[in-house]
Amino acid sequence: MIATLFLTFIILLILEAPVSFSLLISTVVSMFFFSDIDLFAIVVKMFRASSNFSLIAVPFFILAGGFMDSGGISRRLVTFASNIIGHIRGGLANASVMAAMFFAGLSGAAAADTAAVGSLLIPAMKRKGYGKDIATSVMATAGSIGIVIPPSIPMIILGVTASISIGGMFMGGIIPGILIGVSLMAVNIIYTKIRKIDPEPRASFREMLRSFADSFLALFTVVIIVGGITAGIFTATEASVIAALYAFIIGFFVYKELSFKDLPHVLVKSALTTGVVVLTIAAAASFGWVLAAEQIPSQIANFLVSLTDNRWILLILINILFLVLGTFLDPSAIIIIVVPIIWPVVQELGVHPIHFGVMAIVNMAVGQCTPPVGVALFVASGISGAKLSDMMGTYLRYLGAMVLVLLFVTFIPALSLWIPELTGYIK
Amino acid sequence: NGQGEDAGQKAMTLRVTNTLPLDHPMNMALQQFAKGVAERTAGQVKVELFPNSQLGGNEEMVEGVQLGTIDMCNQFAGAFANYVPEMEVLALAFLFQSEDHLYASLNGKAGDILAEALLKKGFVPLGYFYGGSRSLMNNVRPINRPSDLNGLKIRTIPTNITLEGINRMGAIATPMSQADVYSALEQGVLDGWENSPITLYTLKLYEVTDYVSWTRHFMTPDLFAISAKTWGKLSDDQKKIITEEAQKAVAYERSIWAENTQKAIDALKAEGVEFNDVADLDAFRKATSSLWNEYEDKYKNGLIDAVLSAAK
Amino acid sequence: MVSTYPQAYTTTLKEKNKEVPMSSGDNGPVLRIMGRVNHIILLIEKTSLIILMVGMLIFGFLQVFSRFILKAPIGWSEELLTYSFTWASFMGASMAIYTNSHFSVDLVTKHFSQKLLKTVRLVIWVLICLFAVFLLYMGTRLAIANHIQRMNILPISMFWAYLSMPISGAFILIHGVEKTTEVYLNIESEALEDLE
Ligand code: NA
Ligand code: NA
Repeated sequence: MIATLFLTFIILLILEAPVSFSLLISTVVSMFFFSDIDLFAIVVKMFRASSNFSLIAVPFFILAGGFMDSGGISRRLVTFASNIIGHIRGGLANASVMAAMFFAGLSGAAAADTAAVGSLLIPAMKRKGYGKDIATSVMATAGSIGIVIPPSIPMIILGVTASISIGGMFMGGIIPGILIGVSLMAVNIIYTKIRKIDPEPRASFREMLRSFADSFLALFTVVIIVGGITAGIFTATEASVIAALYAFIIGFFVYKELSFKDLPHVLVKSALTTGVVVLTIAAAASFGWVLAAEQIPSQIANFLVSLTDNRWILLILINILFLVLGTFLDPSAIIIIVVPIIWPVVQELGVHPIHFGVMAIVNMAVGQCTPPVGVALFVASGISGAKLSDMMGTYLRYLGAMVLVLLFVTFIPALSLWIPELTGYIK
Repeated sequence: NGQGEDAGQKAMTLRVTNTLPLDHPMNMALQQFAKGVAERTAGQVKVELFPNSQLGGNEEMVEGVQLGTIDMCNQFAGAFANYVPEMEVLALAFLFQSEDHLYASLNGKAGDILAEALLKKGFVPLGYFYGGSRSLMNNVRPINRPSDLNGLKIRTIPTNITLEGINRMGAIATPMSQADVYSALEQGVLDGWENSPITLYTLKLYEVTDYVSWTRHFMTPDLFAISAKTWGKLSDDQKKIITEEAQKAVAYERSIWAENTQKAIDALKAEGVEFNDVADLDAFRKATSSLWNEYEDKYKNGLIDAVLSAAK
Repeated sequence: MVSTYPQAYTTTLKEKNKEVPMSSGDNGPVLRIMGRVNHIILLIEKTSLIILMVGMLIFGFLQVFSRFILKAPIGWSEELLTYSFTWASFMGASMAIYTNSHFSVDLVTKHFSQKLLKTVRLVIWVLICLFAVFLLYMGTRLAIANHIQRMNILPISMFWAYLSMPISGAFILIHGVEKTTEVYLNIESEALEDLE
């Protein structure tokens, strides 16, 4: 069964079938021949995976970005940002990473983070000559910081599943999240040097002031989203709707650059990108469901933890398992299926719960970026229109930077334990 | 892959799932159930447990059992109301006065009426686990009377009957998916929520919850059901074994529940959660009991009477 | 604006097709009807997506407004948004077949010869069509089986939510058949021009 499932999947992928259909067709074929479960299960899982309220952040942040782009908000914000940081190497790309880190402090999902920041900054980066590959790579990887810096939905699921302090993991994720951001910015700087994307001349104080005044209402978008979430007016999911509405109102009524005939295109485009992302999530969920129902991931996990009782070797093995599963499974699926088997063994070897939890989440963050199934990658490439072959070389370097941080987090427990200790989560 | 040959006959694998962690009392009982069934059927029926929503969330597993893609699940009884609206009776605020009252109702006429309705929609009820009574939890103040709830946004399960119960108690009932609750409590989108101490403890929400007020407003059991599609594939002997083992599991779960509730309360107190008994519980009961009449008017099946008369 | 749609898939096909003689300009009545049907489906997809997105925007706002300003949250808005989202996703997914927007891994096929590429594309499109049939059939059975399930809060049968799957399956099939034919006859896809 498992051989048929993966072989069919990989062959279809290689032959350039869409990722979603590769997953679905291989699931149908292997279940038809090798399972006693009704094929109904595939369609039920597809439906349930796609009726998930927290996913509505994807179309609405993309929509907000579309309104901002057509409505003149993006142009003003980007002019203002260039005036402030344009003279520094890697300016706009680094600003994207910082914005993603900042938004990660508000949202708990990689898809929302990527959509919120990418819909605005991917077009901006393309315009400033960064190239599709850099723009997509930066946003796909930076958006995944959304689940590392608190709040984080996968951390909540992990906390509940493995009985690890959620607040403790939230605190523990801060340094690794910043480290991922810093490492991505380092890659940005190297790339801008190689590609000769040179810093712009420093803007005068008057220019800065003028662009600030010009973009004031646009900057207020950020105030509304941040203020609304922190004041408890709306959740981070609902913030996407408010952001889209605000961008529409400013672009349409105030700046008057958004015209009535732009609307259908912007609306359809956001739903189209969402359809692609969600069909793949739904397909991966069906694929994962069949694996789970046949207890395949748990058998692999059981086998793995029986291999060694050396703490560090086991952590490496677990990281490899997570990375492999992360290529095609969603974080929540990995957590609820595999972690309950692995965690008791890891705990016995003296690994601190928060250290394990943060390491797992950083790993899942990488998983959200790795092809074939990576939500952050889908959202970013959906916005930019980049194909994998357009960007693979560049993308591997950004992914490499993330994996490097993962190694640090694995082998230096203090990175995830220091802040929890300071804030009293570890006594 | 989960199938084997035994004595020339094909062995059957039954998948049972719920949303709870493996060390939860209900899963301890299900592990015992699995062992009992395997032993007594000489391995012909193998029960595999999928805790932690491994096969999908609340609605999805009930749907799966109805369609036959999942064999068994145990789930908050109100969750079956989407198919069997009469099940709402088990989610009426303050209808059950004690655990004994609840068990007496389920073992008596009320239980029979519900069983009949469940069977019609493709669910074979095997028993009711005790899910604990649900109480109010919030971050503003201890709740003693309905007016203490004024203006408080309290998250509840998104079904009409639970939302209405919480509204009539005096709060602003706020439906929200469970995934958003932790952040919503932390950021103040919600003032509180309601559940059992064990759930408060296992979901780690005590990290963002200050007060638990012992209202015990919903005394909702978990229905343990098997799909009628699966049921039809079993022999009479196997059906008998499964029914008996399920009864044993239910009895076992109820016995360990009380002990675990006390453990959870102690642990929660150690985490700094403040517990209070509610001074005026009658005021809450009065505020919500009109719902019982509305239920009877809607379904006219005599369930309310059956439940109330089981109280003696 | 065409440029904002992911279009690499079609571009490769166009570039490869340069070496092959194109079929004659007259496509015959069958192709013309097929083209017209696809345009109608596309119009349905676009219209429903616009209605769904605007509706979700309005009800998403009302959800926040009713909870924070009116202090009387609408119980059913989250449910309505969730299933509207499901509909939008499945409509978007079928429209993405027409626009070639589905994400795929194109690292190996770019080394294929023109002839091999055509065969592979044909096989893939046929498989997609077969899956669409599966989705149509299973989705219909599922929608019917779910008519006895009601939503949590809204007094609506789950049939209406599940209906999104067979409809999406049917649309994918209609788009897929046209794509298959186009690949078979070496016809350039009109998809991109249609989006103007
Ligand atoms: Na976050
Ligand atoms: Na991945």
